[in-house]
This record gives sequence, structure tokens and C-alpha cells, in this order.
Amino acid sequence: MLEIRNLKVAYKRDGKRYLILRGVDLSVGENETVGILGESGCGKSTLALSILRLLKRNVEFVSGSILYKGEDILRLSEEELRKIRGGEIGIIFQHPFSSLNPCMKIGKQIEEVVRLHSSVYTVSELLKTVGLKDVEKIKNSYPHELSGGMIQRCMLAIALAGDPEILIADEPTTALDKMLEKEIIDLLKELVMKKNLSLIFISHNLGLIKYLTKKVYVMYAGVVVEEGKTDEVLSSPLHPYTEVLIESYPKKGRIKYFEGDVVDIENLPGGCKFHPRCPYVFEDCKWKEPKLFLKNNRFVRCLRQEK
Amino acid sequence: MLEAREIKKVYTVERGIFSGSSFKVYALEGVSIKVEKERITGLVGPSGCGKSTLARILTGVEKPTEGMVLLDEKNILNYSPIERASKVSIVFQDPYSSLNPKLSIEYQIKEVLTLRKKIKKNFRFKIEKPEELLDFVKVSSRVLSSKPYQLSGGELQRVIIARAIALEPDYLLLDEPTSSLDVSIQSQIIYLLQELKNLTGMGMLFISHDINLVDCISDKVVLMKDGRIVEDEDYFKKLLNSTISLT
Repeated sequence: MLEIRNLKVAYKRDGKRYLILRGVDLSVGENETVGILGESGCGKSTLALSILRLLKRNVEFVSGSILYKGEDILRLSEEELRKIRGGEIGIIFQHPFSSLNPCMKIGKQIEEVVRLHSSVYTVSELLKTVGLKDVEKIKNSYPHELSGGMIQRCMLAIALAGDPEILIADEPTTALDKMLEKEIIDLLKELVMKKNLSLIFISHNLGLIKYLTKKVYVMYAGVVVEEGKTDEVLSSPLHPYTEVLIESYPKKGRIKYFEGDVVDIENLPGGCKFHPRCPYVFEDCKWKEPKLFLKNNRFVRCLRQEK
Repeated sequence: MLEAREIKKVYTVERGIFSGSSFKVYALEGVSIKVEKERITGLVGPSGCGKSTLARILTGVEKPTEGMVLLDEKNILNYSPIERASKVSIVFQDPYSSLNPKLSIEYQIKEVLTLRKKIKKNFRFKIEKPEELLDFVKVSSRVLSSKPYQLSGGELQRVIIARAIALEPDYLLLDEPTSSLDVSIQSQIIYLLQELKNLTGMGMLFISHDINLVDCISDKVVLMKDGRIVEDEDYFKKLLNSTISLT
């Protein structure tokens, strides 16, 4: 349904241009739940925003295409794009409080979307589907009067208002505490099942990715380094970066840690971009950049696996 | 031992500038907790349950409405600020707002080292130069000339920990020190904290809403809910089950 081919995106700073996505391929089928896993600065949010062309002014597309049902989103006019945004592809963002207008009542903000996409649902129906009670009171509240969890539910209501086919969730629970997280994630899971949505779930949290998705793309320094079925990737990782992520996840009684800092897109090393942090690095890694290749039903970008 | 006894804290909140009326928020309703040396005590609870308020009261920067904090059997408010700083220290959640954005890292490290020279205390470690202090938290000395925004979140949090331990405090309070960091950086910081504990014998209070993480690193876990300490095995299990983990 959604197919991204060799997408390259760059941003400008101080007159210099830095590639933030360096050729990403990704596909999402009907009713498929896809996870994008990676640490800060690896380009996962940029990828999400590219799909709806919501990038900031200093960010530009360099090459590649984003095909939605055969049509290239990058070539659409603003008018056509507006129908896809919210109508075909819905999105929820990381920071619920900065995603809503603080001077407008919740009801009005949802109504706007309902009207724009001539939605079949009413505002109250939407608020009920996302598990909110006391709908009338919430409609008349301003964003600051609600808790983080409630706001994120309202954001979900807005994303669902246009009856989209794909839902993009960009770290929807990072701003919430761990106890609220499960509630929101369960709600998301339930809605995706009930409405037969495709889901693109972006997160750095392995637990959530495992809980929600069937397929996962692991990203590092603007490229996909591993792709495959979530269960397989997380139980027997092929790429050392996936392994580092899994091993650093807190487990009872032991802390395993790896040296090295998250990637800095403005100072990328030569060769394999992960080699300064890689526990298995060898000489070739320092000058040769690996390509994505198929191994055991999975795609991986690592010289060690090529051997 | 750092001990809080029956701490209550009430805040008065104004209802808008012109209405003239106000209401009371009960942040803590009788909390007792002990932070022992050479151990990591974990404190878990949902947002808004009073964890951070308790941390601020334990450092003595905020006065409780009722109850008291005892530091080595003496009320913490009877210590002078400088004495207090050399015994209890705190690290906050957001590394970017914990340092002055306009000053270099070197300046901000030298600040604490000057303080170190002023106070009379038998220090165990010899730290005179900023580089030596950074060695403790494994940050390379090339960051000294940088401003905070030029450092990554992990490096910055290490610098903040370095500042917090410069006076060799007996107790270190950590208020969600890894919540804004990536998983791999989180494990580096946790490892560092455990190493520092073994090296100096500091007592730590690790505050977090991530029950898995706290369960994994603490010697003792304390639960909080609505301004109270909850001693309930079932509640702990319920919390543990209500989070999504890898296994």
C-alpha cells in the first residue's frame, strides 16, 4: 500500500547540507503493523514526517519516491496532499501538548478535522472510541485542563477522524509515564485491529515494538540496517546494533553496556557508520560501507554477516 | 543515614490572578523513607505522586510543611547550605536545563572545584583539575571547552553527575536521571552509577517511573502513590505487570 524507495532527505545548516536519510526503502502492506526502531538522531521521525511531507523548511527531498497506492506523494499538489493528510494517512506525534492549539477547546479542534474530511463520525463518537468518558466535559475543555494521557487519546481521535487507512504513531508514549503507556498502547492495538488499519509505529522502545508490530525496520544513521519479522529480529539479531539495543535493555540483575555515543549525523565516520561502536569491528568495516542483503529471510547491512 | 520522617507538604495554589481565592494541593501526606549508605534505594510511582517533591525536600532546599528530614541523626535544616551540599547531592531529569547554557563546561566544573577547596572535609580522592573529575565519569577532557548544547545527552548527564559527586557526598539523589536518554546510553549511565557506588560507598535514591529499570538496579524498592508510600506486594506486582517489557 505504501512503498518508499531509496528516499534521501537532507537538511541545511550554516550553509552546509547534511543527508539525514541516506537511501531508505520501506514497504507497508494492507493491515500490516510495521515498527521503526532506532535511537535519537537516526532519522526515524524524519522518515515519518516525510511520508506526509510535513518537514521543516530547511529540510529538502534529494531523491527517491514515496508511493501511496501507486501515486507518488512527493509529486502531489498541496490540494491533493491535504486529502491524504488525515484522510488516508493519520498521524500522532510525540509531544501531545505541543500538537494541539492551546487557545481552542478540544471539541472545536476535533470538529475541524471532522468537517474537513466530511467524516462519518461525530466528535462524541470519536471521543468514545478512544475510551474517554464524560465526553461533553472534555469537548468543552482546553488542552491544559487535561492530563497527558487524555490529550494523547484526543490526538488519536483526531488522527482517526478522517477514517484513514494508515496510522503513523511517532513515539506516542515517550512523554507519558510507564503506567499510562500500556493503556494507550493497548488502545492503539485494539483500534488497529478493529478498524483494519495499517500501522507504522516509531519508537526506541524494543518492548513496545515487540508488543505491537509484526515487521520491524532497525535504523541507524539514516539507513535501514536490519529488516525482518519482529519476533525473529528481536530474538536472534543479525546486526550488531540490534544486538546492542537488545542487550542494553534493563533485565533483572544485570546491566550490560556498550561504549560509544549515539550517532552524530554531521560527523559520520567512514565505512560502516556503526563501526566505532561495534563490538565485532574488523579492519574492512573502517573503509567499506556494507550494502543491504538478504540472509535467512531477513535483510541486513553488515560486513560480518556477508562473510 | 538520610531519613525522612512523616513528611507532609502542602502547596497553596492561586485560582487565577483576579479571583483572589486559592486552594490547597496535598503533595505529600506523611512519607517516611530511609536512604542507607552503600545501597541503591529505588523509588517508583506514576507522574504526579510526589516523587520529585520528596527529592527536593530530602536535599533540604525545600522545607516540609510537617515532619523532618534527618541527616546523620540531625535535622537537615540545621546544617549550613555548604555543609549540606557536601553531604547530599542531586541529579535532575533533563540534562539540558541543569547547566547554564552560556558558560563553558570547564567553567561550570571549576565552580564546584573551587567550592571543594573552601570546605573543610577529609576527601578520599585527590581531585584538583577538571580533567581528574571528568575521569570519574569517563568523559574525555576535550569537552571542557564546549558549551552544554554541543554535548550529547549522555555526555551532559555524565558531566552533571561529575558536578554532583565533586564534593564526595554521602548521599546522591537521582530524579529520573535516564528518562530522557536512549536505551544504550541509559545502560552506560546505570553502569557508571553502580561503579561509583562501589567506589565511594555512596547511598543512592533512584527515582523513576520505570518499574522494570528500578527493579533491576535497586537493592530495595519503595512504591509511592498519591503522596503516600505503599507497602503492598500485590500493588508492586500489578505495576510490574502493567508495563510492557521485552520478555
